Formats: sequence, structure tokens, C-alpha cells
Amino acid sequence: MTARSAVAPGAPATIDRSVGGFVARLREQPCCAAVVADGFLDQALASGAPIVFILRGDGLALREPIERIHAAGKLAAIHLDLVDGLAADPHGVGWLARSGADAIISSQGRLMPAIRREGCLAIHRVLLSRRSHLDGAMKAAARAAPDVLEVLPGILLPSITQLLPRLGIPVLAGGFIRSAEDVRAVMAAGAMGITTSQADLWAEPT
Amino acid sequence: MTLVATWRLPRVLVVDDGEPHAPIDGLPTGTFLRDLDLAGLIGRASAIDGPWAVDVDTIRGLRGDEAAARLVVERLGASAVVSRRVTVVRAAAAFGATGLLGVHAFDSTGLRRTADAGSMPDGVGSLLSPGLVLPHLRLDELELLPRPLVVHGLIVRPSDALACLELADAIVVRRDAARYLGTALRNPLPSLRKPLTTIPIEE
Repeated sequence: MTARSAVAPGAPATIDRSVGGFVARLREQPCCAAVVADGFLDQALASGAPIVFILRGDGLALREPIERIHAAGKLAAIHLDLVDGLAADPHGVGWLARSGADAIISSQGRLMPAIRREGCLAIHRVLLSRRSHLDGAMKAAARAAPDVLEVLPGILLPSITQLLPRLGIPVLAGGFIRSAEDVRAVMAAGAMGITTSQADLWAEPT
Repeated sequence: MTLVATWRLPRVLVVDDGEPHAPIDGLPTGTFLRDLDLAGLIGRASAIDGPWAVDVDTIRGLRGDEAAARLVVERLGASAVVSRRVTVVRAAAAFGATGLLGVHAFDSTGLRRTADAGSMPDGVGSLLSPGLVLPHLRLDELELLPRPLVVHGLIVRPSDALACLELADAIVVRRDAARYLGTALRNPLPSLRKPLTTIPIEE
């Protein structure tokens, strides 16, 4: 496991930002809340989801939502490429780190070192579209050396797991996972956790 | 009046691998061209026997505009043209081919945002990737995609190909997957269900 500063700026001292801490939370409850619209955050905070993924919203005004996520005892993961107002570059990474993000997600592997330098967990989102791209995408992911890999569409993981190399990195699966049965199938295919905007799964035990 | 595009190609398109076209017994196929440079596209287009489609966004040296659509349809003879640019697929349709708007579906939120952005024009169909998500879409998501609907990407097993063919107008697969699909379709379905899941996958 990667050694990591245990406490984020602005985060309560009890929040463990190490990869081990992240994985431990997923072992307790693998379904993470993907917040894709205003109004979802309250529901996510009230749920059993251990980690809240912010995939939409004003990236320049995240300090308060992140404080609320921490106050609920959860980790905050922010998707740098999807929130408004921030460039997907090291400065954008720095802004999110100073806003209190515990983890930063990006599809851009080159940002993983910058995210780690800021003391945040680096989550590399890999979009799987066709077989001929898999090799290149997974090699790029290996080079980027993220702490966690997020694979989309996650629902396909059981069908394509034999095509994916084992990278020795915890894998999250997101996209079109809609039922407890889907969750179990994706977990059985090797995912450590699930990211989903489907609120009824946020507290779903497996 | 709403314009509706039509699909005139075979329901299985085989990704061109540069090899001479070998018919697959019992399976009418067309050819799908991608990941070529412009000279390569011209060479392959003249060598292909039968209908073909092209993803112009992956052709190196070709700008995604109306001139590109005119070249591939009028001079090279493409029957279908794929692009993520609305202007290109509309132009392809105007030149007499089927225009297919490239749509990525990595999660439901992204798919809905694409549709809500108003980028699904009349008179063209769509090419969904990765195609393997198709059986996982809800009906309301499926209805977001203009017809004809072609799916492409990560369709490897014959069972997956058959599941996609139940919902799509056509699928794009590699030659190995097409061969397995041909074998599967030559056998009566009731006795086929089990073998479908055990046919080895070439990699």
C-alpha cells in the first residue's frame, strides 16, 4: 500500500486518506455514491456509502460540500475532468487538494503524479470502448501508476475481465450498474468497489 | 417532418484487417473501415468487394467535414459513414449514404447528457460504443438513440453478438468474432445455447 499523509487539509483528523483506508472502507460497503446532480448530495450523505464521488457541479465552490462529506464521516472524491470551472492540469489538482478533496479522479494519466504529490488519492478513470484500445489503455494506466483504477462501463467487467491484465491496483467499476445482482457480478469479476448514481444501491449490502 | 434514415447494409459488419475479404459461410457481412491513413482508406475502398462503412474520425489525414463526407461517399462508395460530428453525418446522408452519429455510452448520466445536448439530429442513425453495453440499456435509454442503430466495441462472444443483434440494426465485430457468430447461426438455436458460451475466444 502507498504511504500517504493521513489527514487532508481541512479534513477531520479521523479521516484516513491512505490507499489502505480507502480499501478498508470499500470492504465494509463497496457501493460508492456518484453525485451527478444538485440534490443528490443530501441523499448521499444520509446513505451508507463510504465514499462520495462528486461528478458534477462548480469545482470552484467545493469546500463546503467537501466539509459536509467529511462531517458525515465519508471520503470525498472529486472528478477533475467533469466539474465546472477547473482545468485538468496540476493547478486544478492543487485547487481541489486545498478544497479538502481526499481523492481526485481524472482520465488523464499524466495528472496522477501531481495528485499524489498533493497528498490525495489518485484515481485514474479508464473508458473502455473497443478491444483494440484495451491494451493501450491498460498500459497507459500502468504507466500512470494511480492508487486506484476506475473502469467504465463497469457493467461490462464480467464479460471482458479475461481481456484485462492484472495491474495489482484496486479497481472500481462504474456505469450501468443498476441492481444488487449487477453489483455482485461486477465484484465477482474483480472490482473492489462500485461507483453508482443509483441511490438505492448506496447502502446495498453484498 | 421528421427524416428517418434507413439501413441498407448487412446486419454484421466485419472490421477490416487488411486481409482479402473471405466470405463467412451463412453470414452476410459488410466491411467496417477504421484506423487507416487517407491513402490506406483509398486503397482498401477499391479492394473491398461488397458494401462498407467507414469511421471517418479515425482516418488520419482526413478532416471531419463535408468534403470528407463527399469523398468517402461519392468517390469511394461508402454505404455508411460514422462520425461524432453532426455536420459530417448529415452531409453523408445528403450524399446518399447512411450517416451514423458516433455516441459513447460509458454510463447512463453521460448517455443522457449527450441526448439532452440536442446533438441527435433527424435523418441520421447512431453508432453506439462500446456496443456490448446495448443489452444493459433501459428502454428509455435505447429510445434516445436514433435509428438505424449500429453497435461497435467489445463484442467478442457469439452470445453477446446475438444479444446485440436482437436490439440493434447491425453490429460491428472483428473477423474472429464474426466466424464464431457464423458457426453459431448455422446451428439450430435450441442446441446452440450451451455451445455459445463455450466457444473459445481468439486473442
